[in-house]
Amino acid sequence: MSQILRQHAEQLFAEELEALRKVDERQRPSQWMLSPWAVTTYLMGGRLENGFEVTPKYIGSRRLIETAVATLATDRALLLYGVPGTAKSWVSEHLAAAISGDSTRIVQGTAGTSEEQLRYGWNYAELLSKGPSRAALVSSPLMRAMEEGRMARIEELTRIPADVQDTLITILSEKSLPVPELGFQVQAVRGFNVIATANNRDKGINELSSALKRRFNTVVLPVPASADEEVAIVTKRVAELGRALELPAELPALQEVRRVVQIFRELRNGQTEDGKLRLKASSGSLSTAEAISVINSGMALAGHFGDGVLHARDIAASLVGAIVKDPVQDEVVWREYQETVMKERDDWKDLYRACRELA
Amino acid sequence: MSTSPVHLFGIRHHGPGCARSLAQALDALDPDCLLIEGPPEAEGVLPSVLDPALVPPVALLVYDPEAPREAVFYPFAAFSPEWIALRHGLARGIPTRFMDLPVAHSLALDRAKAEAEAEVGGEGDAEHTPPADPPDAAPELAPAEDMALTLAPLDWLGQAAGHPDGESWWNQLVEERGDGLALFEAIREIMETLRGELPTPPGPRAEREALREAHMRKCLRQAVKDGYQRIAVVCGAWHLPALSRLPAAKADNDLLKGLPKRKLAATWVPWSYANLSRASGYGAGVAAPAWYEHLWETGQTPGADRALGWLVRAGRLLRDKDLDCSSAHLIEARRLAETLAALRGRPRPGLEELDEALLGVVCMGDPAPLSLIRRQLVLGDRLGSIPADTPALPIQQDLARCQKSLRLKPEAGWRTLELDLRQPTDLGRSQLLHRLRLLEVSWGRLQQDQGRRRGSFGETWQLCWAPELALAVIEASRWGTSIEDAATACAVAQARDAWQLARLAEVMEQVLLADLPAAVGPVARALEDRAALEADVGQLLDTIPPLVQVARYGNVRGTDGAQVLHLLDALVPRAAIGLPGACQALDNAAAEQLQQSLAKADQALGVLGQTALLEIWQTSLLQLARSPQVHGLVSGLAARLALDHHWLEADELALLMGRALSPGTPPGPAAAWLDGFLNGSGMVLLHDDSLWNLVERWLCSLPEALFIQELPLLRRSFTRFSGPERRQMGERAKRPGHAASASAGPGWDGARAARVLPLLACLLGVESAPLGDALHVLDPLNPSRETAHD
Repeated sequence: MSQILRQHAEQLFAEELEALRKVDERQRPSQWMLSPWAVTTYLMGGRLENGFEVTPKYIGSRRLIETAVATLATDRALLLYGVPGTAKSWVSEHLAAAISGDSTRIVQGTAGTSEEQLRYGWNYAELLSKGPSRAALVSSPLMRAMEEGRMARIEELTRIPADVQDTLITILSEKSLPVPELGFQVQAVRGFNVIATANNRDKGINELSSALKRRFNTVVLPVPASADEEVAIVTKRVAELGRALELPAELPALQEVRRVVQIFRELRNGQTEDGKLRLKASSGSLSTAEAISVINSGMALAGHFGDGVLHARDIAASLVGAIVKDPVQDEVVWREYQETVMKERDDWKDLYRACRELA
Repeated sequence: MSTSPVHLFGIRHHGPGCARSLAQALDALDPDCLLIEGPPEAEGVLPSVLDPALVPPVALLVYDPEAPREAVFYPFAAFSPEWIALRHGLARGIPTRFMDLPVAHSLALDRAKAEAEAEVGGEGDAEHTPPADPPDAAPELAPAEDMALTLAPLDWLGQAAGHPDGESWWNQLVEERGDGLALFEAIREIMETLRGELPTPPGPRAEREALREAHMRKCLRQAVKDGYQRIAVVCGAWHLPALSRLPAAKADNDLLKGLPKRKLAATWVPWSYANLSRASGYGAGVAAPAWYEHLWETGQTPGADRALGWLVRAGRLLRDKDLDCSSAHLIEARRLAETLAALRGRPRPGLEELDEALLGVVCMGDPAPLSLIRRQLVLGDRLGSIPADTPALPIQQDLARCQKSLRLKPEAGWRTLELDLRQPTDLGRSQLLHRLRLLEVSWGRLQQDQGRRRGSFGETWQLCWAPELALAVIEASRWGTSIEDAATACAVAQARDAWQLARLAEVMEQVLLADLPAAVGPVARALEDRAALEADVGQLLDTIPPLVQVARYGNVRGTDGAQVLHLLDALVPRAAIGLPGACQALDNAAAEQLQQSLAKADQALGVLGQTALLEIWQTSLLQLARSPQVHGLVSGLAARLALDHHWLEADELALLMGRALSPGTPPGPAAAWLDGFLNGSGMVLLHDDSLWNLVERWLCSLPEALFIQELPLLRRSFTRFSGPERRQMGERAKRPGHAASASAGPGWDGARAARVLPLLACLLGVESAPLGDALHVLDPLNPSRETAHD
């Protein structure tokens, strides 16, 4: 067992990548380790002709992944967009691992990301002692990816200040990075491309300029399509997290998980699961990840302050916190939901009362 | 096949790829007889197909002249293979026959079944209304049955080939690909296999199918017997296996013997792409009529680039709607679409690839602009037209019948019609006029608020029949075969498209006025859905009074109030919950508007008297009354309404009023509170000393400058009171102990001046009300009165 806390995708799934490479005889874009078809199979999982089983990395629509892979094959940059907790970075990492065999050419976007981090910086000791030279240049992951013809990843693109974002325009359209100090430029080798992720809840912060937007193809990763899928994800993750944190409560009954997932889905989709009633949608993202955390904190409450069994009252408190993000708007949404939906469901009385008590 | 005179062409209804291949196949074969799946009754109106005034989409309508509600539509688009076959046959003068089971039989069978089941569903008009009726009870759009059967099996094949459904599989394999005459052979093989593997489940539908196929075979035998050498048969692909072998005639003849019959008529009606689409509930509908049209047109033009043409149209549409879409976008979209097609192993991008490319490149992953494209370019809004000399449509006949039975002649020139809704004939007339209004046949104009006839049982109409209304009636025929059915379907469609709550409430009202019970359910559902999403509480409040009106007084027209009550059950809690939030931070104009809505809604709820609703309403009103952040007009009104409902104790009211009128509150909001609280009537002040004193103390405490500033508002509040009220208030104000306010004037004694007024009134012969006004406490500031008063 490796002592590394978290391994990169290409290390963790090296065997699957290798197996795919062996059977993959389709046409590959230049410098790609796998054909677009094999990349899609790597992400979506499936059984190869020789019987090798590829595990699914992304559970969801195959068409989305196909669009993403096709985008990268057309040498257009790819922007993965979606609410937090919809596996954007996960998909980006696996795409880079499958296409270039290397997911580490990564720039994390923050409010403090500077142009140097996207282009190049200087090794000042070298610069002062020997003057500007190639040796004094510190390449950014992006620059190295251009030279090597690999996938570069930019996380949280919209967090990067707008003026810094625009550095990308030349790189994406001219596929070159001029270094005026040394009088040369790095021209991207075939196989170079950029996978960026951005979060569409924060889109007001540093929205992409339309010039930059135009250079990306956008794929929106949605929240899980079916309730069963989401219940399965939540149950699995809660079990894993519960082990890591040693939560004292018993693992929750499936029914309680189902209820939370249902509330989240209904408020997110703006209608009840049976489709009979329209609802106002909450302003929060209500992602699967948040459903997991609601159950988790409910378990902690039950374990530390309750009888160790997850009850409605344990969930109610963190439920409100997860749903009511905007005190005015969401409060109305949540109360309407209680009065028109929860109240009407006979087996939800306990939860309804617990929520009412909190209000 | 080559030795047999029969050539089978299995098609999918409205498939452009089939149509293109069929056109080529027919040219190559040059048949001397054409048999097409269609109603034999309609052969009489076929010559119109070549009339340039008959522009598809159109539908053949076969109906019973005695009972036009029992009818079947056979729609055709320019790209329907049947349409191509019809034009081919008629243009060359080849005998062209319809070979489906006569509608006469199927309608008669439907009726027999409906009678056997003794169900109300027999009225079945529901081809447009969402499937509330059981599907078999309604006469459907004709080729629906076999497609419904084939679609599910196609899904099987599609999934086997790695497609999400049969539709996209079929599109790619048949409709979107290049031509090939081998196509029909391939389709036949697929269908043979499918029907071999998946036996039709037994049931009434299978029996009907057997009858249809027996009749088709009978027609086929007849054509062979007539000695034709090259017989082309165009029918739904599903029927191919049943027609490829002709067993002995006896079994079929036995099956078809003794079928009930009826006398039917046929005509053409204009159709629309919306009706043609599957979304309208048409079983053989296609998901993307306008895309198919695009396929058909580019297929007709050699060298046309299908994907590019489509993207350019989409780009132009987006630009028309002020959305960014440059040529660079289109270039990239095309590249992505082609790469996607390559990734999926397709020779050319189809609708899905183009859709996904537009979504990713142009729309930034935002599906909203894409829905615009879907509506306009995929679904389309094309409307067909028919020649003027087409035989009269059933809906026209139905209108004529209604006009006759209600003694309501269409006349040019305006005339006024007064209706007393308690009379059955007048009620019928009113319903007919309201239905026509829904169908946008504007024969009558309803006169609003005609003074003396304002009661719920009187209506006044202005009638004028203009020739172009006949066209409007023809256009309405696509909604149904009778005025009632058409109005129902049209109302449901309007409700589906309406986005504003007020508009929906209007449709609801029209539906109830027009007495369309079948539309009430769907419209109410739409209203409920919309209300759930409505954030504007004012709008929610405004929908309450008309609905209460309908629920309570609806019985003049004999409508069912339960549905509306159910609607209110959902609407009122939503309004009540949203109310406190909606009343924060209002400006004066908004507050005034809300004040009116609130008062009307409260009155309506009081009239309705449902305790459950009043309970939640109470919580909300009290919250409004007690919250200091709410605009004075609204919180004052809320306090008043709560008081009237006895939800507010006198002590608390005094507390609230004291707070609202206390020195700490700026005079503007305080006056607004008072205005809201008084709500047009001063009696409450006259009856409660403590309130009176509070108001008086507040008034007296105002410095002169502020007093002048507040005067217009106060005067407006007070002039709404009735004359006697104002007089009593005046008298009370001048009584000892209250003199302080009256004597604030600049040197003349109001009380003494007032004494002459009654006599003056007597002399002048006027009522004392305007003079009582003069007695008003505010007299001392006489100069401002004239202006403030008017």
